[in-house]
Order: sequence, then structure tokens, then C-alpha cells
Amino acid sequence: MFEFLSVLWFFLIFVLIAGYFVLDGFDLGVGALSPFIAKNDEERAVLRRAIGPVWDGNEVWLLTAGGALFAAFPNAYATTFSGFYLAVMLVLFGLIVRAVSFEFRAGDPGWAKLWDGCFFVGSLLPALLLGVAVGNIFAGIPMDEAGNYAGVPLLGLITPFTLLTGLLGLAMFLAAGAAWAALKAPLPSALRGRAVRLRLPLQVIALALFAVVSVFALALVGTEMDPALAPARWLCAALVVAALGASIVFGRAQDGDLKVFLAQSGAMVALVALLACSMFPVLVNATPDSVGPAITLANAASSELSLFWMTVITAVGLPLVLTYHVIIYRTFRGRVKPEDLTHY
Amino acid sequence: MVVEDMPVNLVFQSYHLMVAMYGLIMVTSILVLVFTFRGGRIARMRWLQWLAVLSPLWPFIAIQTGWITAEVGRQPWVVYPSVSGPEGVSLLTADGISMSVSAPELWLTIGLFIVVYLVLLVGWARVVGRFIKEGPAAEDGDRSEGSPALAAAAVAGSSVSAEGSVAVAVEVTEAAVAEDGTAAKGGE
Repeated sequence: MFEFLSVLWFFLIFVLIAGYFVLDGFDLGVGALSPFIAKNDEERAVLRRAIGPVWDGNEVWLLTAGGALFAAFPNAYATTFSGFYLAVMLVLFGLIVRAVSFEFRAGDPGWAKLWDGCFFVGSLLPALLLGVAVGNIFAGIPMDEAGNYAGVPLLGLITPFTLLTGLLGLAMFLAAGAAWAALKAPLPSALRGRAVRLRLPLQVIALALFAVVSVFALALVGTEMDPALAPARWLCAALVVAALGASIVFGRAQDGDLKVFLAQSGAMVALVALLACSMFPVLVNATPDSVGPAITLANAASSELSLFWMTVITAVGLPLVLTYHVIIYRTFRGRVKPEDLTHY
Repeated sequence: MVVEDMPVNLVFQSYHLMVAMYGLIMVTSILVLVFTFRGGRIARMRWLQWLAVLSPLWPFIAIQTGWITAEVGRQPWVVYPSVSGPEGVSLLTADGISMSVSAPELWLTIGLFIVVYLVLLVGWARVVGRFIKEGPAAEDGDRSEGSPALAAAAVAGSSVSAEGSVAVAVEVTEAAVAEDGTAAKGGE
């Protein structure tokens, strides 16, 4: 039972991360794209309204992933959140100012430029840094005997590989944001036109970066990957390429906006699945010259009792969460109309 | 640090301050409710209106003193020694410190928190100030702007959520106005 629960929770954490990547992906992407596609106050309000009703529920998935990591694999949580302290804090501040910029922008035109800036920077920081963090746990971080991060704070986390994974993550976020903006912006409008024009290059860049990162990961990083999962890895990699390709093809049609967005989201899920299959059963890799061992399922899992009750609670809670997501997205479906812009 | 050196008086005082705030909340709520719903006499009782304006301080102080009680009171442990469970299961704060985070990093983030929260405080005050200045949405201009009742409504509304605050402020103020038999202006 304990073995099964550990493995189950390894993959459940990645399910939560995938959910976060898809859901908060487009709203961080919209925020990070906002200076480039929204050129006047009304367009900026449309963007805020496009993600306003849903961003809160989306961001909750990050908290759930972090919380589940804390409960299921406390050693991994401790190593990553303390080791990446400054990066985590930057992500946190980004999320704080982004959230506040939504709420205060409409109520305070005097500080409009500040809040617009906060909306942009607050979306950009997490979009870039989360990819860097993922690159680090895959490539390995220097660890001491107690499992603490032993490298340079913040700057030690930026290596050529992690910079590439950060850019890959950012490209995926931006592509998702462009796809969502194209889906929600009024039709026809200059805003939608700009979003559509950016969507294709962003997806192409994401595809190219995916190829570069994959080659880098296989050839140069040398992380040991579970041989039994090799077929799954190839399948996931193929799915990433296929989904991004499909998304690009759908984008050529006039009314393909929803399909583009769904295919883009599918690519993001496949990317996280690829990561999970590449890392199993290690949660945080250690560099070869580390004093201490990597954080694996074996040395990080919490007790069987904890994992059992977590599973029970998740079995009840996750369907409820998915239900309210469906309700919210259905309530706010359709393109943004001028009369929707009251609060934003 | 030894258990005997712990600041008992600080914990004691902050706890009782928290409970006192609880009492003040009850008293303020009952007074405001009674005098709003008994003929709207609150409209003529400026001292009670001012009490209502100050009243968001009570839960704020209660929260802060409650946290001081909890966080200072549990020292020197992060997790208090288990009373019902196995012997010796506890975690001293000194043992719970993360070894990979240095003091300069912590100072930096404390500083960043202070800066960010100060900016948010000013931003929040600006937004709330605008709501107060604008007053209720459909008024004839009879009510003086910035009166204590309006201010209380706006502040109470904004502490709920910024999105719903305009609607809440309007509703609460209109309810207060409606109860006041002397201001029989027709309309919304």
C-alpha cells in the first residue's frame, strides 16, 4: 500500500502541476503579453476581463501542488522551497502584485500606469522563473548531506540549461496567453488581430525550444532516467510536438480559436507528463559532485497514514474543484463584450 | 533559549487585549444594530457613527495580538511537545531553521515585504478614498460627502472584497438612509 501510495502521489503532484500549467498558463501569458497586444485602456480592460473571473481559481492549483508536495514529500518541499528561496519569493511577489493590479486598476485611474506595470511584471516573473525551477530539479542541484541546497542563492540556479527551460516555459505561457486572448477578444478587433499575429510565432518558438531543450537534456545533462518509462517518454514527446503542430494548423482557420487553445493546453499537459516520466522516481536531482543524495520517493515520502488520508481527501475534493471550474468557465463563456467591462 | 526566559507577560497581555477587542466588537455591533433598526436613530448619534468608523480597528488589533500570542507563546518550539502522543516528540525553533537560507536573504525578503505592503497600503487607501468620495451611486447629493456613516460603509465594504465593495457600500448606505425616517427622498 505504501509503495503504491508513494508512486500514486508522485504522479498526482505532476497532475496538479499540469493543471496549474494549463490553467494559470494562459492568464500569466495574457499578463505577460499585455504591453504588446493591448495598446489603449479599453483593450487592457478587455484583457483583464478575459482572465478576471477565472485567475483566482486557476492560481489555487499552484497552492495545491505546493501543499501536496509539503504533505506527501516533505523533504522535497523543504529542499526546493528553501533552496530556491529568493526565486520562490520573486514568484510570490509577482503573484501578489498581479493579483492586486486586477482589483485596484479600475478603482484607481490615477495609478493606472503602476497597476498596468504590475500586471505585466507580476505575470512575467512567475512565467519565467517556474521554468527555471523545473530545469533545476531535472538537471540537479548541489546538495549537502542533510539534503539542503548547497549552491549560490538565486544566481546559482541560472545555468544555460535552466535558462533554456525557463524560456521554454515562458514561450508556452505566452503562446497559451495569445491563444486565450485571441479566443476572448471581441471579434473583430485590433486586439484579437494582434493576439492572432503573435500566436503563431510564439508556438513555433515553443516548438523550437522544446527540441533544443530535449536534445540538451538527453545529450548534455546526463540525468539518469528510468529505462522502463522510455516508451512513455517518447510518447509524451511525440504528443507535445503533435499537439503544438495541430495548434498551429488550427490557427490557420478563421474560427479555430478554441481548438488552438485546447491543442496548446494539450501540449502543455504532455510536456509535464514528459517531465514526470523523465524524473521518476526522483523528485529533486543532485549534481554528480554533490555531497548528499538526490531526493527520491524512498527518502522523501511521508507516512502511509498521511498519504492515505491525502488520497481520500483528494478523491472528494478534486471532483468538486473541477466542478466549480466548469461552472465558472461556462458562466463566463464567450467573447468579452463592452457591457462586461464594468469592474475592470 | 530556556523556557523560563520566555516573555510570559507579553503573551498574557496580548491575549487579553485580543479578548478585549472581541468584547469591543460585540458592543459596537450590538449598539449599531440596535440603533439602526430602532427608527434609525443612529443617523442622529454622531458619537456612535464615529465608533462605527473606528470599529474595523477592533478585529485588526485582535488578529495581530492573537498572532503575537500564538507565535511568541509557542517559543522555543516550532511544534509544542506532544502531550498525548509519544514522549519527546517536539521541534525546537533552533532545530527547525533552514540551513540553505542565509540571513542576508531573509533581511532582503523582509525588506521587500515591507516595501510591497506599503505600496499596497497606499494603493488600497487611494481606492477606498475614491469610493468614499464618490458616495452612493444613485444619491441626489443631499447627503454630505465623507460623512462617518458613508465612510464606515465604504471601509466595511472594501474589506470584504474590492470587486463587490461598491455594491456593498451602496447597499449598506442605502439601508442606513432608508431607515432614517426624516430623509424621505424618493428613488433608488
